[in-house]
Amino acid sequence: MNVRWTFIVVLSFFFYGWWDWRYIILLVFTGMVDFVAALAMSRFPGHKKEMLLLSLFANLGTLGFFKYSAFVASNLNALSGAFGGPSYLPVVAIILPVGISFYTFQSLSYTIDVYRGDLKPTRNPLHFFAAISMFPHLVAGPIMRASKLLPQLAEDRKPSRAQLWGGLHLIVHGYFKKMVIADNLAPIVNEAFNGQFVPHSFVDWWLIITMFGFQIYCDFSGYSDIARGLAKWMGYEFTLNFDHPYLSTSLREFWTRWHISLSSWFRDYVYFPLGGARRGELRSHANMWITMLLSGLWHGAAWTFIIWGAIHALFLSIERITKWPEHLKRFRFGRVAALAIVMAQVAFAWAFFRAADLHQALHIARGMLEINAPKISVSGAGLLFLALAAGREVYCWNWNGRPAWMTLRTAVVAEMAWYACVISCVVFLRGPGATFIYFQF
Amino acid sequence: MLASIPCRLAIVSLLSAVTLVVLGKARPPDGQFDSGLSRDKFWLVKLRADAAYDAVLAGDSRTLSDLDPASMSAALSSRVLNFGFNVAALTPAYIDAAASKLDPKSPNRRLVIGVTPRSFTPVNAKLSGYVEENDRSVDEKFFNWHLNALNEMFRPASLPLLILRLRGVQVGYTDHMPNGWMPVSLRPHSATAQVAVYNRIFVDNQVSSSIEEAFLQKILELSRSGIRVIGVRLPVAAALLDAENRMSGFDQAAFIRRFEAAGGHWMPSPAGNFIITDGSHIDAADAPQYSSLLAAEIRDAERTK
Repeated sequence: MNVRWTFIVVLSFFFYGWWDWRYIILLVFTGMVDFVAALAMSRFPGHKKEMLLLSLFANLGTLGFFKYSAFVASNLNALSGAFGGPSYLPVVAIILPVGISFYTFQSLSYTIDVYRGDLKPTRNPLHFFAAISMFPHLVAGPIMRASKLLPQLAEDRKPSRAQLWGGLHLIVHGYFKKMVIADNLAPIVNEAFNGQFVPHSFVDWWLIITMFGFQIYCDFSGYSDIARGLAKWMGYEFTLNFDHPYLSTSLREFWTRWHISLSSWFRDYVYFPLGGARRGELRSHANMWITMLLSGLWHGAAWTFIIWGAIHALFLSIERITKWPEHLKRFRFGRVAALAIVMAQVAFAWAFFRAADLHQALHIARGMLEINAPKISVSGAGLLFLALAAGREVYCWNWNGRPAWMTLRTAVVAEMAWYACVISCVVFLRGPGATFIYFQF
Repeated sequence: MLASIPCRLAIVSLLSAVTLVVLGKARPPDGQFDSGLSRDKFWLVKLRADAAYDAVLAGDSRTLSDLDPASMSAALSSRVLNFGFNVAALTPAYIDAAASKLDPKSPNRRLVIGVTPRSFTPVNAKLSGYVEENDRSVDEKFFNWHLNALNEMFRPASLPLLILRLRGVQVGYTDHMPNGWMPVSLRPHSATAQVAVYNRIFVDNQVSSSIEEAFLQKILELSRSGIRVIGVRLPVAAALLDAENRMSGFDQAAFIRRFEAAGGHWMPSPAGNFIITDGSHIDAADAPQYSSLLAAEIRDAERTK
């Protein structure tokens, strides 16, 4: 077993070090702190709290230094400037280690679970690092809880037949989502945000932002699918990260389908510990706002991300108070209307997420809300890939498995031909190469 | 048999491989001419061209797309290479590279330079296509050179264009010819397609006097070494010309005076009703005729002299 774990750890570090080997030191440092802290919690139960604080300090301190120090310094300087003071703090641009937010949260979940008594710490550092750094999920998730992955690693697992076939399905479709849909939508969205294309009407803006919504969805869920597929091929099961979020009929439902590993992390380690919905209506709203704002901040050190979180929190609060989805669904076509409203809310928030700065975000938000002649001037290619992405979701929604007229043998043959067809599409219809969006987080 | 997963995986792999090769081989060329060159190898062919030409055409995308060496070759009775690059800046390093393709034994060495205001701007100097291609890593160059066939076979296709083609609609194209010419055609033609871009390009990015000065020094040096340096401003749509003249800070009259003082020969662009497909580049169908006319004027000017 040690050979297997060593193999996973060495290859995962090699994979991570390919970007910049120096940052492996950081990964090892925070990992070692968590490994030792968890062991110490088990050995010295009276000092559990201190050990947890040590782990939180090491992880959040590292994350804070690399990701948020420049943001905090520039904001404090601006605040000081507003009162006529000088800029006290140096604003140093630090290179953000790839995937730091993902592996920090993965590592943190381990010590918190050990602290809570939900998980027994492992004594084998290889075992621990294999779980934390396993290459498919290392740089962009899904954020795997140690409690889910460690037991799998402890077994001598070989991929089952179903895992091999399911893995292929995930990998092929993951590449299709990323390379055909996301990478073809990217240049059109980028042109609008770079100012190379000037939208002519509010409809243009809504289309562009919706395109971005599908771009980021296909980009990120494509990566998650590939990661899950690779894990299956190694005999492991990763958490489902996306479950057709744009088919949600309420924003609450959206958050149970979008980036599930992160939203459940915030739910279990932030929202519930704050009291969740157990301490009255007002407190419940406050807890939800805190969780959403932190979720926004997790994505990046910028006000645009915080506002993105705030917009979601606002819409969620309105939804909780009015319960509009339940009311709407009673009407004919109510579900479709609810779906469209949720999509519009999410799209509006995406404008802030994608904007380069607050000024641009407000400009776009104004463009989306300013009702004018509904002229469409976005490129036909963009509309085509948007339709492809949306059509794919609707198709998945309506998919009821093998049709009755199809024998099992025919279905298998059709499936194999379908995979060959999708692989060809990935090769020949791929868009201009672009890195995964979530690598930057 | 079909129930066995390893067998299914093998069939999918085989089926995919066959489909990829069949589609890759059967696909029609993107442009009008099937040169067999991938875009990536096209640049390398230029960069690695031997010093075996009597005339070399240098400049940015206008030179690249407007000037067809084959047509000029016929009119000049010379071996001609198009050494144009997208977004090229007329820096001494680039001009040297272009001049290095001239055959030292040729009795009539000519360097034809397509002059544009953009090619003297700092942004072009920074983002020059020549620098980009020249600075590619050894691995990339190796791949582009030796695995050109694979590159070409698996190059991505545009789904919207594919649909238009299947519907029989005429679509725009870009070709890559071994003699360095890159014919382009935008369908439908649009004289104003590039106006918005050009209205932005010169903001905080006007013609740099230092780049212009270094260029003229290089012209002086080349002229003294016996190379006939010819300058020409290639045609663009009226709206674009207006934007260039208004915003670039390029003083053409003064430039011509200094260019000729440095030993260069300025040629007026041949008149004619050429289609400027996107407002900035002559349409692929008209470029050969324009090139022939320009070559004929160069020849006539030399004879007159």
